[in-house]
Amino acid sequence: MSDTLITIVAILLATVLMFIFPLLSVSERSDDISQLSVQTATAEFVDNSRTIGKITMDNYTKLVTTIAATGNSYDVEMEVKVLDENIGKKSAWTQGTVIGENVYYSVYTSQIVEVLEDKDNKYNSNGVYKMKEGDIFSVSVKNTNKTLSQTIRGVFYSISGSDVYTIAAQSSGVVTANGSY
Amino acid sequence: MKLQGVSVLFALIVLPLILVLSYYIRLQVETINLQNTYDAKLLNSTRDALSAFEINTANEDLSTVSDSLRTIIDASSNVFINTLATNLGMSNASKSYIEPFVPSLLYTLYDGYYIYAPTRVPTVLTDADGNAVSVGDAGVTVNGDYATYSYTVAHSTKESEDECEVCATGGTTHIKYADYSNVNNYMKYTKIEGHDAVKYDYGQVLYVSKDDPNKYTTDINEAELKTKNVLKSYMPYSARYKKGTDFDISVVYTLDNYITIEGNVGNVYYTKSGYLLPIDCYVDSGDIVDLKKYSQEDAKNEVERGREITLVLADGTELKSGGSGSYESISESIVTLNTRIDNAHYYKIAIQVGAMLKDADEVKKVITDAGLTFDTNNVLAQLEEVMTNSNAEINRLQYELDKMSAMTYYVTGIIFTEWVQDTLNVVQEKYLIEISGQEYRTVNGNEQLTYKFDSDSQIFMITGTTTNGVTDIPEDSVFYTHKLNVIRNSIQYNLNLAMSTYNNMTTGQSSYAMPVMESEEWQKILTNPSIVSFLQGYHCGLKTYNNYMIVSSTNNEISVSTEDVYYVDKEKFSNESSEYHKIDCPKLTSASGEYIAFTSKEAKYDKVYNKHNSLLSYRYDHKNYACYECINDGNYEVNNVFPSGDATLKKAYYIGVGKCKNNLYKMNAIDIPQGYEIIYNEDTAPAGITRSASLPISKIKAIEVVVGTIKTTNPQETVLQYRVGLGNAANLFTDELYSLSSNVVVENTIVVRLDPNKTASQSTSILEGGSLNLYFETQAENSTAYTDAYTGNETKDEQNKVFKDAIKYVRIIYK
Repeated sequence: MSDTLITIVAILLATVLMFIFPLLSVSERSDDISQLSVQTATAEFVDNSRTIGKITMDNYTKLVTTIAATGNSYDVEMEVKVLDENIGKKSAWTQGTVIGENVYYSVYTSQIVEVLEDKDNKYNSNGVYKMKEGDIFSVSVKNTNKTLSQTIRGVFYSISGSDVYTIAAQSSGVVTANGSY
Repeated sequence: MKLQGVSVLFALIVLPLILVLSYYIRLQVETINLQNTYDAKLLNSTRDALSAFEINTANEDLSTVSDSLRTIIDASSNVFINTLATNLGMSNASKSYIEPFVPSLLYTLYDGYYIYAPTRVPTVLTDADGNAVSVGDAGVTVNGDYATYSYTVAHSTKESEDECEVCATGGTTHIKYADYSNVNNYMKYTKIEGHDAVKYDYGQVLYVSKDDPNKYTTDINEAELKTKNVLKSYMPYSARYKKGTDFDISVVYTLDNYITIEGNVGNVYYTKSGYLLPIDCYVDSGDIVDLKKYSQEDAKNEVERGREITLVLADGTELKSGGSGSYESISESIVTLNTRIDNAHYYKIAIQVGAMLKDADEVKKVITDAGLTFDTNNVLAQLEEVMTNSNAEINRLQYELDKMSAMTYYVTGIIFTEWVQDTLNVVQEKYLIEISGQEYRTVNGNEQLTYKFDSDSQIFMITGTTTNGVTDIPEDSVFYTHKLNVIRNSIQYNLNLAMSTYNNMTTGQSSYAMPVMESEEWQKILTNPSIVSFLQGYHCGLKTYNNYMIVSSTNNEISVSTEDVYYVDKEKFSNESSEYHKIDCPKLTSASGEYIAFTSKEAKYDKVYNKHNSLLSYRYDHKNYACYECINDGNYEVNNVFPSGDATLKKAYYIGVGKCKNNLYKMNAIDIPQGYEIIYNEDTAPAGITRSASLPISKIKAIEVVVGTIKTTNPQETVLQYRVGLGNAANLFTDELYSLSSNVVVENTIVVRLDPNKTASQSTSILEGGSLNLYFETQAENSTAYTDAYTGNETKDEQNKVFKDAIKYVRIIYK
């Protein structure tokens, strides 16, 4: 009787050791590699956009395609903090020692994508969202599906909450040039 | 084996594998993350360097002058290294640690570029104050080998030179100390007695000897070398083209359509610079036909003296300038008005804060000078009115200046382009022989070339293409493509050289090489002034970091991009309650249909410093606010100005772009563009003037005649007067009479200017067929003039021959 019980426990342990653990480990490494790919693509997208001073549909599509190639689905959030030049501008006749303060207002993904797509041909944007020198551009990418490692882990323990992700990348920086079409 | 045993064995084999693999992958992820952060840090440091460059050029009046620009770039490169060191977690005192990883920094400017790179330089001996020590300076003694020197810090205790005789003892011969206590004797060199072999070293800088750090040498080959980051000399974007004796010219290109040309075409040596405009961008009529008779310089003077000119562009836009005084007088009026505003504002503040005014009459003068009747009860309001009225007047005058500048841009551009197309149509790409002073040969071997300059394309035969209503030189034209290839080739060659030289100098583990940059990146580098920074060999996780970053500048004083020209209603220029816009912003409107344009840099770095004004030392002359749609955001519903939009906006665009480009200071510009041809040189062809000018009279601006000494037997005859003429042609000159001083040893140069209005129809050459011989006719009766070689009598014919004999050179100056 006790032998049978030990055998069953051993079979269960062997299953975990021989199948589930390697699978979990491999899927986690797969997520690591996806993370690597997503992080690189995001940083490249941000650095490229801020050096040319514009977000282009081409680059945005390239980012989306690259991260989609990892087999997961992602939520790409973009934010442009637009520098308000007028706050920093020194009004007439003030002392030269006053240094302008920088104030930003933010533009988010949906507004940026609206300009990029320009469905009503309102902006004549040709797939370009322009930024200017001094603006701050940031991108955050998170996976929205459950990756294999998350699913396997879910079998053993569950993490509650809707904002659970294992692949996430962020990048941001100051725009270095005035963008043009 | 039991199942348990198999499981344990499997776990023993797989677990280490998984652990090692996961550790390795984590390291890889960390490396990539580190690399990404290095990328961002390199980019941010490059941006900081560019910001330093922009701010310095904006706030430095002489920033466009090459020496000043060099110091600005030096400062910018320091900012780069300091920021990079700080970003990488070191204090900026550790910059010497980071410097070796930066094999070069490239600054591409408007008409050339700088490379900042580590170079092996000899170690110069310096004194306590950091000044270089030379042979002959106090404290320098020659060693017994007569090849090396010693140096001890000079003491000021030596009272006289005699006391220094002591130095000339003890086996080594010393240079005498100068009397250090007397400033007049300080640095006085005396010879080394009895040692001719080394006396030639006097005044030469001493280097630390590579064999012994306590000895010094003047021989640079024996000097100890150390690595130092230096800014190499300025390299222009230039190319040289040569075809036998037909032409041999050097062309300096810029980031836009401005070029400078120097060299021979046939017998004529040209020095010219100007904007290349698409020749079909305007309608050839009216004033322009007339102005084309002039040289570039004269046409510019015509515009700037205030002559009323109308220019019709290809799309029908009519530009007018002039009729309101000269450029100079208007500029002076603006200065006066600005001073008036400053004064009015000063007094207004002074009265408001209750300061005691030393001289109340000054306040009255400010008000009455502005045309108002002084009212003691209403001074503050009157001062305000003075400021408002003066501002309005400044805006009106500024617009007049803008129109003149724009007209100068178009008129001189048209004249220059016509000359280029007329004269340089023979220049083909295959005649290129040098790039930036470096001999260029197309090698058809295995070496990978960026571009072979072997086509028959005529580089300067440009034609305009009308895109969206604007006629311009297309980006893919032969001219632009060739220009980009020349610049790219030049930069690649020199950057490669700098980096490979550095690589050869270093003995570390890293090797340095220039990366291959993509066409798009070159396009970016060569569109706006840019900085390209390289970071190589830096340790980064599992690998070595090698990357470069490009940052372009759009707010600077050394270039103009049409997209960064902003516009404001003329009436509201520099008014705090209104906004400036881009040309296609729907909010850009003006009741008068007139706009004032300025570059983004003027708005961004708007500050005029006046050190003489202690109360208001800074004045801002671009006080408009940035539009929230077109300037701050940049993504807006555009107003399609071209091709069929508002005519006043098109006009504003042409004036704005023309003005901004014309007002740009160009380092390589030729002040007076013209051509020269020597048709007579007494030394080489004493027989007389037999050669005719290569080009017809209509292309001649002036004739320079250099005359040697003409003596007179009558001492009272101190001035000789001659009338100039050209064969039997009607008078073609601006002046007919020229005077010379007699009996002077110096050579006189007579510049005979031809009147372009009279010569326009003359298609023959001077001296051609004998009917257009240049002659000088004496105006005096019974002149006693003679030269050493020719003594004629007092008849007019003989006197004219005296003058002819005195001629040494004749030089034709072309438009």
